[in-house]
Amino acid sequence: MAVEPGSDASTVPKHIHEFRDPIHTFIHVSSEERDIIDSRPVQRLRHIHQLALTFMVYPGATHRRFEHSLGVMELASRIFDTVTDREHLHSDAVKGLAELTDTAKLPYWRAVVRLAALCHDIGHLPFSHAAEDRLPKGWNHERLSRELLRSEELSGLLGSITPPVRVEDVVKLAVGAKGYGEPLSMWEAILAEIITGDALGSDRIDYLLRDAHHTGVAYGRFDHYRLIECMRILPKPGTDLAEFTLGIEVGGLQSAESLLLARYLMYSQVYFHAVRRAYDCHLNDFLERWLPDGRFSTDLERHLSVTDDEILSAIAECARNDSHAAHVHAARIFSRKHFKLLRDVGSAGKDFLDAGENVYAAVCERYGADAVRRDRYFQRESVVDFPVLDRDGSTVSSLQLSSLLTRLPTVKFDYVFIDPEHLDDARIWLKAHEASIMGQSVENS
Amino acid sequence: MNEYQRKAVLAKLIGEMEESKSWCGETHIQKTVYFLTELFPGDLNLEFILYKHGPFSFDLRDVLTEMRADDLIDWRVKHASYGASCESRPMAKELIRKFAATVGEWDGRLQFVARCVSSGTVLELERLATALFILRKEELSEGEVPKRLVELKPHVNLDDARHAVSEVLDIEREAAAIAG
Repeated sequence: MAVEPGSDASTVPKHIHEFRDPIHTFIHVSSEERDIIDSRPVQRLRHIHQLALTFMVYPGATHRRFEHSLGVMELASRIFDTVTDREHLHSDAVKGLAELTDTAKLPYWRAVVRLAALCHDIGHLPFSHAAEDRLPKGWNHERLSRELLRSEELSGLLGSITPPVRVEDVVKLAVGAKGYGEPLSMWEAILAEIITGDALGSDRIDYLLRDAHHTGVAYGRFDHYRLIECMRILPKPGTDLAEFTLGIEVGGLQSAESLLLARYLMYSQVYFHAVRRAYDCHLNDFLERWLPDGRFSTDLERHLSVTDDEILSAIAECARNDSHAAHVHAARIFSRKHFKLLRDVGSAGKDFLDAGENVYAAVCERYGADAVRRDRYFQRESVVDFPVLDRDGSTVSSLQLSSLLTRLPTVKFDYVFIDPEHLDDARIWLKAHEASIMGQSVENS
Repeated sequence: MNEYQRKAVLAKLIGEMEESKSWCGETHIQKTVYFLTELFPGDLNLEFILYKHGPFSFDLRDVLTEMRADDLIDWRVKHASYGASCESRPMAKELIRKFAATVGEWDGRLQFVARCVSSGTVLELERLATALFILRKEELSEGEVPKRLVELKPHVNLDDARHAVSEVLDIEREAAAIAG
């Protein structure tokens, strides 16, 4: 290694650097990766909370997307190393995916996977998903991520890596097929699954472990070491096509079950926590009045300059200024005078699947729209059907082997919140009228 | 159309697919709904992109997840060597009854795509749906479409591609007659 003139031999420049991390202990990065980490889009993630205002409910949940992104990079490369290990290659995958045995190019793809994992969240708005509705029509955080990766700042850094990394390869893997909008090759689709895959992706593995750690909710923990060790690229059972996807060796099935159970429980206990969702409603009300035209800018420079810090500061300022248009909503957050859950219509039972709109409208009519909010959400990405390599060498559906996965529910909620001032009265009133309100037909509504 | 009207339409389609002896895997549902949205434009509001094996809608995947959460459908492995199939749950009939007027408007279209498309194999459905995607999204003459199909799906031979395009054109003509 060359030593620069004037430098001491004991200060040989480092080429591998490490971050301490509460989940993965050490995360190692190369100097070239560190240049990307030092870029403004990645550094901005130090100021975006992973779980929006969840820290108002779980005080420990102050972790940011920055450390999550490092964690996803670390896990993505571990998964890549496992599934491309020659000892782990399925014979059909070897025949169907030439890239798997192209040893000259595998290091390139490993670099792309790591960088895409590192950058997969750079398009997130302040408070992440909680504020995504405040983008102009046609925009979402995936589109912002695409634009940022193609920007001069990041594309220049990616191009300066040895060997240069194609920006579009990073974009494809960072946002996945859904976010890219154009066809991905089978190989690219599998690599994207390593990062953003519904069932076994590194994004999900990291956020569950990290969110569980910081919230103190133990349900989110599972044996991710065993899970990753057993991951394989496998043919999808039951198709007459050569379709390959991320799957698992049968010995890791319990750890996969454990991950998916953890996901279900974290959705129930953390992500869909009613008070957290009430804060999301207030945050959206605040942003609608605080942002110009109620929308975040899609200008990249502006995007890079707005983080949770600026918004939290504005919330505090508006909460103290009762003449500001957003004062009421800022004060709800700042003073913790959030709306209270009146009814989760999502749990009302099978006869009332579509009753949420009726309940919301009826409560609004009685108490006024300003005193009522509705928030509803279904758990997304609940794919539990992935291939499992059985002991006899056959590939079968996870649903065939796991009775737990066939029974795992999908979480949904349909919350109606109300100003705490009306809560007691509204509970009594709704109890008396609920059956008739919910039973109304909404056809043609 | 509100979201439960949309779910009622999709629940009815899945029922029609079961009637047509479709395997009813996710790919079968994806491709059949793709034909439905292209041949009979309505307000199902599902965006399709070309994915691993032809047109695929992540929106539809989300709706199917919601339908499972609502206990309208479930996934079940019917045969050890095959992937999961979708099956209607009793609640689906209730929802279809509740939105009988909406579903009634769609009935003929649903029966048509279920009959013409849904009972194919995954390989056949990939060819047909990709041919329709090219015909609708790319400005190519009918004669150029088979070659483009082979470009996109190298495992499809040119004869099969020609046959798929011809079959799609027949389906389009028949659909136009139904749409009136």
